[in-house]
Amino acid sequence: MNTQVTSIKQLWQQGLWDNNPGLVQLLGLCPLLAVSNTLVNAIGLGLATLVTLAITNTLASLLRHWLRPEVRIAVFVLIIAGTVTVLDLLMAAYRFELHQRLGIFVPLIVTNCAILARAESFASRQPSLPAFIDGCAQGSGFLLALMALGASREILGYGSLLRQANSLFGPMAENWTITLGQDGWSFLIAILPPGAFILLGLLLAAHRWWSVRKKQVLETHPDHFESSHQDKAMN
Amino acid sequence: MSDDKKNNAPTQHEAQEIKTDNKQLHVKANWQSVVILALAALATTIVISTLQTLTKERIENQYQAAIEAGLNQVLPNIDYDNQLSKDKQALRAAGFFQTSEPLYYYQARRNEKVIAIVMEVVAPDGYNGDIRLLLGIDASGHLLGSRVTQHRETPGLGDAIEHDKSQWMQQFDQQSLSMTPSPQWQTQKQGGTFDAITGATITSSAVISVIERTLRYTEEHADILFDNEYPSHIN
Repeated sequence: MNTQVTSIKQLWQQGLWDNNPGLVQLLGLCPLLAVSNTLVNAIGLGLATLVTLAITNTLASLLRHWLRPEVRIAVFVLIIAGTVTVLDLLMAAYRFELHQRLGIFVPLIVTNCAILARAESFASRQPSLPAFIDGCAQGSGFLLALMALGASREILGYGSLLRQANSLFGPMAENWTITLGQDGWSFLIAILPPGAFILLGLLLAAHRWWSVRKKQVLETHPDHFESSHQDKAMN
Repeated sequence: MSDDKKNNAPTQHEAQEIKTDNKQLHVKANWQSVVILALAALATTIVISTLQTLTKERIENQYQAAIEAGLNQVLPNIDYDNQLSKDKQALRAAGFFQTSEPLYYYQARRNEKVIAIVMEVVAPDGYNGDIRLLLGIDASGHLLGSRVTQHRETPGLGDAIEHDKSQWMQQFDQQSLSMTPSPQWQTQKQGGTFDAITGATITSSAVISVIERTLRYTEEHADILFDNEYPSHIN
């Protein structure tokens, strides 16, 4: 495992694209599939996961010198469960309707493998600033994956975008819903589980295709990109 | 990470020493681990319980507000002055609705006088299980509004009973048994006056029949539901 301090740019590149938790590491697929039926739900849970990752990574990093090997994982689980519970309570207090709609998936953020994986493999071996940034980067990557899937499923399934935006953004967002197409035009399957799997598969394929293409471009024009060797090593 | 790994090289005596050293190391390590874990658990518990106490009231208020808003939706343009969710009572003879679970009603009052009620009823014969509804009824036996609160009907077909998915439920607004006598409360295909949802005849029939049943129940028990004989009750 690479214990060198990687640059901030590399952390963001890893988290958002090269090592995206949902699309490359394939972690946290359960919430990714379950709450991406509308864009607002996807953003809601994505933000909650992002905040959790940032906090737990930072805490794991701050405590890294005191945690003996035997208790490391147990303490990580405590930190993650504590953070998620705090977030759950805050969401219930300040965004009640969204909280009701996300249901058990807010507490289930605890089981998102991406969070424990980052704490164990990265945050506990890095100083707090890289750990914090990595948490934000990985969380943002997950949020983007959720948004991509949420937007496609909502457009195909409901013919709209940002439906029920007021539950996340407050009463001023009541008019933000964009409706495309008329009533009755919709691919129902996009809202149902099979559609979620199919669309996720297409998203994974698209990500892979784009990454391979980017690598090919770098290989044929190595002098244009100074970080090409670093990227290849990471991949 | 590898304090308990034994090397294969040393003599028996050395091995014995290493074993004892490792054991001592282990004992020390155990105490330290216990303390760390206990402290982490204590810190987490304190943070969570403090936040829970701070947000408890607000969450409870949000919950009550959500219930109140739901009840208010089926009483459009009714000027009542009590807090509906506090004016809740159990329906007697709930077996009338072919279910063994308790059902409730709420009384909307103006100046202590009951002007409308909200009935919380359930249709057990939906296509895929129970359909729960809130029905607002005024003192003249007219349906003021309806909302489906819970159901498992087919997405894209039976879920047209949701008020934000289609306007199918609006055909029941302002209906009453005086306007449409009981035998007419069927789908048009069955000889009645109501539109069925295309492709969801079972769902449609279930909803039509539970509304008719509720109106009939209201007629038969109007004196209790609208407090005609008992002008005030203590909650």
